This record gives sequence, C-alpha cells and structure tokens, in this order.
Amino acid sequence: MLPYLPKSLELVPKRMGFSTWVDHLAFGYDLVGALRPDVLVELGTQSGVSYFCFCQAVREHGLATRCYAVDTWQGDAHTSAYDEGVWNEVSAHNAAHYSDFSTLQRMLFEEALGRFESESIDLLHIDGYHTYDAVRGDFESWYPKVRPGGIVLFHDIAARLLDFGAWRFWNELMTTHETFWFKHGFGLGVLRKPGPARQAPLLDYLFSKDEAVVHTLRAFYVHAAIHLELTRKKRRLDARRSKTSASP
Amino acid sequence: MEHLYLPPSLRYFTPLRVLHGSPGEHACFEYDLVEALRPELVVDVGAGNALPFAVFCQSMQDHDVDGLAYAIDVWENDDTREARGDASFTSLNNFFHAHHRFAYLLRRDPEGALAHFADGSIDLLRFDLARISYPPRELFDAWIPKVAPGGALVCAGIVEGSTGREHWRARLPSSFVFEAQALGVAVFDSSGGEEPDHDLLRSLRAPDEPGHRALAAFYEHARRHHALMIEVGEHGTELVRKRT
Repeated sequence: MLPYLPKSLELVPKRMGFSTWVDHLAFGYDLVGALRPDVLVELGTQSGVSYFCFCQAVREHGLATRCYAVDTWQGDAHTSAYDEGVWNEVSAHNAAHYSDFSTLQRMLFEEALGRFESESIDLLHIDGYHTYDAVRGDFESWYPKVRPGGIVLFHDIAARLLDFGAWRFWNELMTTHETFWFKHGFGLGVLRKPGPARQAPLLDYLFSKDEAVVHTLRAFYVHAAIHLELTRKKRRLDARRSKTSASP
Repeated sequence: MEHLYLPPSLRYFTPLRVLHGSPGEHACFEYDLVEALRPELVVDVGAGNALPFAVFCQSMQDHDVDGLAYAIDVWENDDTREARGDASFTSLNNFFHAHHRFAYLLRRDPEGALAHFADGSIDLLRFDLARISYPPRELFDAWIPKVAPGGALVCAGIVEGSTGREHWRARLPSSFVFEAQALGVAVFDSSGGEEPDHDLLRSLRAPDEPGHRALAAFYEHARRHHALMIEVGEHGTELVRKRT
C-alpha cells in the first residue's frame, strides 16, 4: 500500500485572510496539482485566499497554467462594499509573486466572459454573489467555457444564511452531473464536465462510486484542514515565543 | 497505485497518557495496529514508562477489543527522573487501574515472566531492547514462539549496527522496520495461511520497499500531527497561565 500523502500536508500558504475558504486550502492546492490545468479561472476573488492558493500550487507543482481572477473588487450585498485597500493588496500580492502567469481582470463576470474561448477552461471556481439566481446564472454562462473533463468548483454550498442559494442550485446539479462535495468550510462542491478526464489518484477518489472512498476523502481533507490550522498556530506561537524571549 | 488511507489515529485518537509532551514516538502506529489486529492478549516486555502499553490499551478500549494486556518490567534500579514520577510503578498502577481495568503490570524480568504465557497465545507482543538486559538472540528464541498465528511482534531499539538489529533481521528477514525510529514490526502467518483483511496488516507483510517507505512517511506525518496538537494545546495553557 502506498498511502495517499499529498503535498498539501507540507503547505505553508503565502496568502491568508479571513475566509471560510481556509478550510479548503489543502484540497484546492492538491486539486491543482492533480488536474494540471492549462487554464484556471476564478469568479469572485475578494482577498485572494483561494485564488492565490491555486497560484501557489501552480508555482510549487511546476505547472504551465494560466490563471485568471475575475472580480470588480467592490463587494456585493453579501460581502458589503470593499475598501479599495482589498484590491491594492491583491494586486500587490499578484505582482510580487505570480504576475508571470496570473492576470487579475477587474470587471463584471459577464464582461470577462467574451475573453475566454469555448471549452478552454480546465478549472473554474464559482464564488461570486451567492443567491440561487446568481450562482445558477454564473454556472449557465460559464459552463460552455469549461473543457470536457474539466472541473467546476462551487463554494458555500452548505451555507444556509441570508438569501444564499448556492446549496439549492448544488442540490439540482447533483442529480444531473458527476459531483463530489465537502461539508466543512461552508461546503465546497466539485463537478466534473463529461469528457476525457485527466488521470490522478485524487481525481479517482473524488469521483469514485465507492461510498467508503468518498467518505474517507471527506475525512482526509478535514484532517488536512486541521493539520494546516495547527501548523499555522504553531508558527504564531513560535513567533510569540521569540518575541517574548527577545524582550527584556 | 496510491491508496486513500486515514486510520483511526488521525480520525479520533487523543492520547490519554502523555509524558514530557509526547504520547511516544510510535503512538499513532501502535494505536492503528491494535485496531487492525484486534488482539485478545497483549504483552509488553520491558514496558518502562508504559507509553506504548497505554496506547495499546487505549486502542483496545476504543475499539471494543475484549482482551487482556500485561506489561512486564522490573521497574527498579531505574534512576531516571521520569521513573520516580509519572512512570513509577505506583503511578503506572494507578493509571491503568483508573483507565484500563483489563491491564496488569507484572513486576518480573523477561525470564521470570515467560512461564505465564503459553506458546502461540500472544496476539501482540512488544519488546523494548533498550530496557531488557538479556541478549537479543535468547530473548527472541524464548519469546517469539509465544506469538499466536496471525499475531504481531513489535520491537523497539533495533538500532542499525546493533546485535539486536542483526538478530532481528536474521530471524525475521522480510519484516517491516521504521528505520528512523529503529522499530521493527513482524506480522506472522495465520493458521490457515490466508492474507489479513486489513490494509495496514497487508502492508506490513508485503515485501515491498517503496510501500514500506511510504508507510513510514505516512506515520511520520501522523507523529508530527499529534506533536503539533499537543504542543499547540500545551503552549496555549502556558499562555493562559502567564496571563492570569
């Protein structure tokens, strides 16, 4: 037996922030490594916690992926209006680390749509406005742009607050598509478009017909999220320790 | 082909017995081995501070294994600080009485304890060569016949270049060794000759070097994960104490 021991268990995220996506960083990092996408698009980037995790995975897995983040960086009714500082930080981080393969497209999703050819996107992450109509609209507009065998991620499919409706649209998609979903971190849905799929252990586990494998995969990435949180706490404690020992 | 493996040690194991911030170097592996093997008779020869023995017992309890467990050691002439404190015979007795009523401490040397166990009766036998003054070869000759068919032997302290390692390899040439921690593990043939139905036991029996290295790497991750849990938790307590 070669136990699955993905690279994310050693992950040190370069970009962190307040986001429930923190619980999915390990999975997002490994998914990019497994899928080896040529083109990755994120709809709704805000402070870049998920997007820059994808970018970090591209860099650290040595991939030739082109990454695009689409957002107005002005906020919406669910996030409230952003301070311009969010955009400044995101663009500075992008420029400092990933400008050779990552492009920020500061515009509405529908404005960006025409910039991508049909069936060109290998990994699409939908994390924009979270009402039922908005999520459905984003999916229906962008799905034709996804390559057969490509992956679409949906965040917040377990969030039942305000007028969030991603959960309801996700329930519909599960009856018609090949899917997997995580329950932690407000839920993350993974949908594969029919077509020739890349081969990798993680992709086999995600779309396995064996319930035991699916259950174990969910538990594995809860473990990975806890492990990442512990390593972050440890680094913070180490920093406090050295501060304390340095002070007179 | 990689295999999705998330054993009990990473799902729900919280060690009951921790000394100096550690449940022991191999606690996760020991916990999972008991879950896989479901041993009805566990014997730990040279139990010392009983960290591994406590993990065996905790796993038996957590997994509803209806068995008995015996820790064997002289627990004397031991001038380490831990032996006088949390690892003293009295303290150990209190711990096992409080948590695991099926566990007993036998204050004997390995030779004196031998007669208490019939051949082929022990499902999980552990040695710690660092705590046993007998020559490894005599120890192995005397005790290995006690292991039941399908049972397992765990041996700590088989350091590369030592006579213990030499005799271990001679006696159990295809067994698994966690090189970094000098821990040997052998899973014996069952009476019917069938392969075990548990992933961990099958891996331990497979003469597959890459598989063994991968399993060792996995348990190194598990060890680090538990070390982080303990360190972060303990230090958190420390900070609270400082603040108050």
